[in-house]
Amino acid sequence: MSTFRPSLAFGRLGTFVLWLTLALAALGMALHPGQGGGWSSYFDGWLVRILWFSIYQALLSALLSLVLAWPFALALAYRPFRGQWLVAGFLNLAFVLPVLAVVLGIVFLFGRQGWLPLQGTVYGLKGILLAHVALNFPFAVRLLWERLGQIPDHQHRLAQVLGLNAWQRFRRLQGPLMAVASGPVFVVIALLCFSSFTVVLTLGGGPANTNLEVAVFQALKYDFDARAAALYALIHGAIAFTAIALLGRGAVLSMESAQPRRQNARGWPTLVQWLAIVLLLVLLLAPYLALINRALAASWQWPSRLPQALQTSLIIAFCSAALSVLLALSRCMPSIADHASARWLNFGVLVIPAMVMTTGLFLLCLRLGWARQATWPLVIWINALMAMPLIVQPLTARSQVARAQYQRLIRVLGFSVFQAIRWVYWPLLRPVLIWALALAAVLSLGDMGVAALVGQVDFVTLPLLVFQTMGSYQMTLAAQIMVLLLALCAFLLFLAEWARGALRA
Amino acid sequence: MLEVKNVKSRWADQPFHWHFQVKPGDLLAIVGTSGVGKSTLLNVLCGLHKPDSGDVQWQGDSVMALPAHRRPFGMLFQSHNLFDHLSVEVNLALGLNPSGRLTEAQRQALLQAAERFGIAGLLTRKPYALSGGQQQRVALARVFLQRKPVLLLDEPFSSLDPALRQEGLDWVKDIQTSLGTTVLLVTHHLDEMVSVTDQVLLGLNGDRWLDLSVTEFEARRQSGELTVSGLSS
Repeated sequence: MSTFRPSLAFGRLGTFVLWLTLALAALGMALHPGQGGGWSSYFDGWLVRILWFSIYQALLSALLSLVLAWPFALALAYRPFRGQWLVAGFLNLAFVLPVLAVVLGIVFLFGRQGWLPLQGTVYGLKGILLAHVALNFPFAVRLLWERLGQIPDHQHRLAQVLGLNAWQRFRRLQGPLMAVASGPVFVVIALLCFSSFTVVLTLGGGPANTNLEVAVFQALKYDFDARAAALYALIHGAIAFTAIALLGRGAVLSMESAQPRRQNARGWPTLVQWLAIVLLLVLLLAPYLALINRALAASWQWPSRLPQALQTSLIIAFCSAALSVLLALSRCMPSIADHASARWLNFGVLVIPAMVMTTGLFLLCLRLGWARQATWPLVIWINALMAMPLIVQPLTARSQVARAQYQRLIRVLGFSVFQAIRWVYWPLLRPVLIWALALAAVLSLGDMGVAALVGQVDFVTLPLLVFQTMGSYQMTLAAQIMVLLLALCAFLLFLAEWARGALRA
Repeated sequence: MLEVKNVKSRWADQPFHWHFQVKPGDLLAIVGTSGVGKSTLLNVLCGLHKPDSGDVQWQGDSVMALPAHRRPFGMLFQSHNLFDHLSVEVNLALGLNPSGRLTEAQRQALLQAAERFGIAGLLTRKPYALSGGQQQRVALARVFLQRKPVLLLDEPFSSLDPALRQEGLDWVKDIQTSLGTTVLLVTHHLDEMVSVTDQVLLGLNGDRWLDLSVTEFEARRQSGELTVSGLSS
């Protein structure tokens, strides 16, 4: 056997690149090119205020999402039903579609001219909470539903034999499990909302409602105060890291296995389940329906910058999707994927706020005088990093199955690396690779934060164009551009599902 | 002559030790309880598992330095002997050349082998669309095409019903007599194949193996001197 193993080298390259990125981001924060006052001048009332707001809105958002998710998770998990994969698919939708779509939807639902106008204004804490709940409660439903689905069948049968009624069953079976599962779900959602950028920036409606991410953005874009940006990003990173540490190892792993289990559905949903599904779909789709309704309210008109934004978005989406898949592939090399440390690194990349990483890398580029040239590579790379943890698991699972089945045969027949790829890994992984590419492209298409932070004035993507259009109060136009973006995402998601379907065949 | 000389290995904290010979053209049945190291032995021989010490020689030459595919051994596993997503024809071709490109002579050989094993009509099919019996014939046709002097069989027929198992054994016998192949076969069904076996290697323990001729083995078993667990009839 030769001593050089390409799979090992490729896997190590991926690990190295990840660590290098984290190290460079840290270096960027340390070397930030800021002048300004002494460090102590930043620890003022303003910092306390944004810290308080960041934490307060995150905890409140997580709590509301969780409370709203409980009844749905209970109803859906009551027993497996036919077509539950479809419901699970809808639950994933808000997680992958552009955040700005939900933001616009919330405005069109609850704004002054909306279907259900709020007292006062939708901008501010109320809007932020509504958007965060709309984005995260489906995620909570999915996680809790999965956990409840893990109650073994024999326990349900035992409960039946013992004649426990619904309430007693809840007290003895679902309740305790729900209580245990809710902790980690709460922390993860709180963390996601704590790191929220797009929602807080667009719905905050004023300096009173600024969180750390938005403060970083303002410091860099409006105040040109790099030191403040570095400090806020650092505090943000430290708090996020502490929260992850509190989550603990077991919780991390239980989050990881958040892929739908294929249960043998025995029958149609019960009446309660039907009610839950219909209500869930109404809640899930309402923002998008409001958005589409608004987009159709006026004749379609495209701004002159649309072609440029579309082109930029597409190039960035496909480059970062390709990079993300390459990176994910390197993470599922046998020598890498088996290590627990690899899972930690993957999970770390998932939860380290992207904006913290972006800030560090951007500060480094500023320091080196590359800020302008770095826009494209930075946006592409960080989007690739953000998507990687979400696509790595199916890729790993599939390649591990291929390896377990055929590794011996490959060696006995004397395949080279390229022959093994050609005859075994490529044909078996192709459907998952297409799925991963499409999903990573959708995630990157919808991103606004990274592009907003790193991009110069003339850099415009579709979400940025929507944001700028919102800024000039052309809400109908914003809705129309967003519908175009959603159509693009829908096409890619359809492609992804089609590829996965081909996989099952 | 296949000579296994004091090959020692550790696997999952268990020590293994093998030392035996097989005459060319003979059929050696390897028996013993599960976990005794039957599969490990075949994996060591075919080069998938590197032993700690010892030597394996074929016709006086050591094979230890050779990678798996250069060794004079054809191997069939308990499962996954075929690539399910590739056609039968490609599966056979890959036994001749990992690039899948064949010379005209190799193509002819492939078609003849397919004819011989009764799978000529299945060449464009994918293995998952075949019956268990058809799959085993495709796998056997591939090792037949490879013309390896020694065949290592790790219970490839164990999951099949007795009739198909017998059919598989007949094919092995066919290969053995027509090509003069030496066969090492792990089995839990020794009673079904006593008539075709020349020699029995019985694992008592990872590092204790009895190497007996089949008559000696049968005699000692009849007398009650040997109780062999892990065998079903």
